[in-house]
Order: sequence, then structure tokens, then C-alpha cells
Amino acid sequence: MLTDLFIQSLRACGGEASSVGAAELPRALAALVGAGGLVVVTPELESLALELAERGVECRVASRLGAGDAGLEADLRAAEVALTRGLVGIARSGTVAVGPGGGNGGLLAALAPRHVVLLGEEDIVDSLAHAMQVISERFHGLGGEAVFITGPSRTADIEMLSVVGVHGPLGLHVVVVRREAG
Amino acid sequence: MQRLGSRDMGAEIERALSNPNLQRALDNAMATLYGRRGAVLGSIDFEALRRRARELKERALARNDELLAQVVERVTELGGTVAVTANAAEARDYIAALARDRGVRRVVKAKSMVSEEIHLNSALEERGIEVVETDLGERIIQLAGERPSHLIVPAVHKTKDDIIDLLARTMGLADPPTQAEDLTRLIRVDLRERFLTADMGITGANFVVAETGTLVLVENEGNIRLSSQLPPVHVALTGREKIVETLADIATFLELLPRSGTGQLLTSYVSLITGVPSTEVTDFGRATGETVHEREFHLVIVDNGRSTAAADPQLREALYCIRCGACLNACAPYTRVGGHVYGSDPYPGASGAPGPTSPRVTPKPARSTVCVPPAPGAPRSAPS
Ligand code: SF4
Repeated sequence: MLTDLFIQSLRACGGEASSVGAAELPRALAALVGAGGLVVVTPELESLALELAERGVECRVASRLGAGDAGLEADLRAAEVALTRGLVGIARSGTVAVGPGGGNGGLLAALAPRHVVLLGEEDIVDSLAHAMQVISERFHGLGGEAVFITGPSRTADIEMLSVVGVHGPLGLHVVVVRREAG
Repeated sequence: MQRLGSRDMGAEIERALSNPNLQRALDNAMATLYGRRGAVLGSIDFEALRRRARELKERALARNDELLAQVVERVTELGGTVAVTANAAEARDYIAALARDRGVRRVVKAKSMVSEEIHLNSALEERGIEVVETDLGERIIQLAGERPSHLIVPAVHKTKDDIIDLLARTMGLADPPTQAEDLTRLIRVDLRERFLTADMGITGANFVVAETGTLVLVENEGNIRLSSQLPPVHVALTGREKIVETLADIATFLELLPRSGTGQLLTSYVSLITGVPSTEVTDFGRATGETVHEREFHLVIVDNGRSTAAADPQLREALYCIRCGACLNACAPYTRVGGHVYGSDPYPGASGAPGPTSPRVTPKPARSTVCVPPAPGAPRSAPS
């Protein structure tokens, strides 16, 4: 129910969304990002990266190091697709929150032309207030960034004309992952 | 003829009214913004949310000293540095000295009205630092050598044709693109390399949360995310009235700000930045238990007349403003003459009336009709 509303809301603001069962995820992702150039994933998705690589997807795990690190810089420049995990989704606005958690996932996802986010079906909530609570618990005593993402990057600075794709990703795709039955 | 200092207001208004490009740009933009806002207010109990937001701002401003101390404590604990500055010069000097110490040659900058208020760019440029505005509208204004004329659409006074001519001239293009999409792409490519090679990123903050020390930044383009996360040093610049009590309060403001500002349920990005992210150091794949900060973070909070305004029951009203811009889009004079005519640069409209840029009261309320009671000390009619 919330998943349907989430998908509908995200499509309404220019994003793409789909829903797949957990067992189907590697195959579905390979089809989604396979021919789109280098896929860079955050360290927490390392095992998924291996499965994608087995399926022939050009895939790399982002360096964990911070600013000034040559490996990170190379990853950031080369990534065509950033693949990260979402923390919480908001059904009413089609919003997905990523981070906090370090590992430069946020930065990677801001730079790559396409951002693909994996979001657990059970992590979709109804309202912004509810999502803020989830984030708030995550922040408890910790530093870091969280970003609420609602659709691709856009502007209306030229005569109010809606243009998609300014400095952030030109495309956003949220894959809602269904837990297996049983 | 109305004169304000050395300015001839009457002539400026006449010029604005007889500028066909400005009239066309404003007609289109104001109607669009006004309409988009109207279309999304129905999905919420707007009056209840507005009352709630007002209460939250009142409560936070009444406890501003205490909350400021809390912000300093939290951000410092989380690896950041906070500078509380009394006026524009102090804020400018802090940032300029930091840039000098870190050997900064290029700054990428996201939209920040406070940076306009304290004239930060010229201060950095005088010291030989390249400052690159990265919000599309702000970049257009920067290339044109102008000042923003609207709180959320800085280049609202320009038509697409104005912008094509401007980019052709400043970027040396013989055959500039003519579609908004292609013009935007041109800026994306030009700025991407500057983002990747910047030594410092400067942003504003829409809200600062005392409870957690979190900055909240609201945007659509993605340039705030890049300015804050990519360079090795991030400086966030904000006014002390932006401090609110809790992260839960932010949900209320976020139900209102994007709806009123651009007619969106939420903007494309809302960044919540809490201190400095740190990463665990690994040694050939093994965790060492040590952490390093991914970058350096400085929060510069300016007073610049705000404490004086907060002590005055009428001027205080301006400090509750969340800078959505909705009042401008509905204001009869603004929609005809645009923001440059107002004498309260950089804040046009009612919220700029008390001139929070200084304890001095600007004479602008004298030119407002019904929306702002004349501030104490402001002349009832503009001096001639
Ligand atoms: S004064 Fe204007 S810009 Fe400020 S919150 Fe009210 S409507 Fe928005």
C-alpha cells in the first residue's frame, strides 16, 4: 500500500521507481545498470557489487577515505551510476533519505549522472515527521550527513522553465526491495 | 520626486516600469510561482501549520542565546568549529583569514543571502581568491555583475534571451544554445570541473538545529550538496535567527517552505549536516579503531543587527521569516518593479524592511502600503 503510493509520488516528481523481491535483486539490478557505464557502490553494498560483477557489470566499491584521497577522486570522476542504500522512504512525497554513515555515499550520489537507491519495503513510512524521527535516531551522538532526495536534480531559474539535471544526478531510480515471503 | 540618499527612487521605478524585458520576466515568473504554490496548499492544513511554525520560531527566538550556546557545544563536540561574529566585517575577516591559512585559491559557493548581506564575495576576491557561484540563478547574476532580486529566484528579472546574450558574451560563445535545457547543461559542465578543483565550499543554512547541531539546507539543483561535501573545507554562513530547537521542528518547516517557495511537496534535496563525518581508518583492510574527519567544517554565525532587532517587538517580526519568497510573488509593487528598487539589499519585500543587515532601520516601510507597519525611526514618507 505505502509502496504503491511511494512509487506513484516519486514518478510524479520525475523520478523512476520499481519494486523487486530480494532474491531477484542482483538480476534486476544488472538489467537496470548493466550497460550504463561504471557503477560505483558504497562499501556497505560490497557483496552486492560482487554479484553484479559476476553478471558482467563494470562495478567498483567506493574508497572509504576522505577528501584529498586519489582513489576516491578517481571513483568520483569515473562513476556513471552511483548505487547506494536508502535509509527511509516517505510515501506521500516519493522521498528517499540516504546516510548518515560516512563512506562518502552521499558525495558519490551527488556527483554521478545517475543515482540508483535500494530501499527496503519495510522502510517506507507515511510522513515527513515520521521519517525525521528515523533520521533523528540515526544521528544520536553521531556526526554525518543525511539527505532527503525527492526526484532528480532540477531548476527553474531560467524563465521558470522546468529543467531536470543541473548539478546533481540527471536520473534517480529507487528500487523498492520486497522481503521474501516465508 | 522621491529621493533616498543618493538614489532617485522615482526614476528607478519609472525605469523598471518601462523596461519591457523586466516586465515580461516578472509577469511570467510571478504568475507561475503564485499558481504553483496555490496548487499544493490544498494537501495540508496550511493555517494550522503556519501557526505551528510561527510558535516554533517565537519559542526559539525567545531562547536564542541559550540555543546558540547549545549549537556551539554540539558542533564543537562533533569536530566542527563555530565562529559567532558580531557584524559583517568580523564574519568576512574570519572567512578570509581561514581561506588564507588554508591556501585557498578557488571557492565554490552555494546560494546564501547572508553572504550577500555581508558582501563576502568582493572581500574574498580582493584577496585574489576566485569565488564561483554555483546556483544557476546566482551564477547568472554573478556573470552579469548584478545583485539577486528575489529570495529564491535570484535572476527572476532576466528573460531567457537576456541570459543567452549574457552567456554568449561572458563565456565567449559564437553560437550559444537557445533552449533552457542546453543553457543549464552548459553551466553544469563549466562548473563541474570547478567543483572538483575547489579548495573551499561556502554554503548558507536554512535552519540550524540546537538539539543536534544539525544544519538544514534546502535546494533543487544539487550544488549545495557538492559545495558542502566535495571541497576539503566547508564553511556554512548563517544568521543567528536561523536556530530552532529540535530536529522534529524541522518537519513542520519543511511542510511549508517548499510548498510556499516553489510549489513542491519537498525540494529535490534537503541536506541535514551534523558536524563533520568521520571515517574509520583501515590498514590493509583491517580496522585500526582510529577515525579521521573527512573534511574540515566551520559554522559562521552572524549577528549583524539581529540581536537589536530581536529586542524590538516590531522589528522582531522579520526574524521569524523563513525566506520562502511567497510574499514577494503576491505583492503588487514587487510584481511590477522587481527586487532591485527596494532599498534593503539583499532582502526585498516586507522581511527586508527592518534592515536586519544593520541596527539601522531602512526607510523602505515608507514605500510599503499595508503589509508592514512603519518601523520605529523610519520616516513615514520618504524624504525628498
Ligand atoms: S515574510 Fe515573506 S519570505 Fe518571509 S516567511 Fe513570510 S511570506 Fe515567506
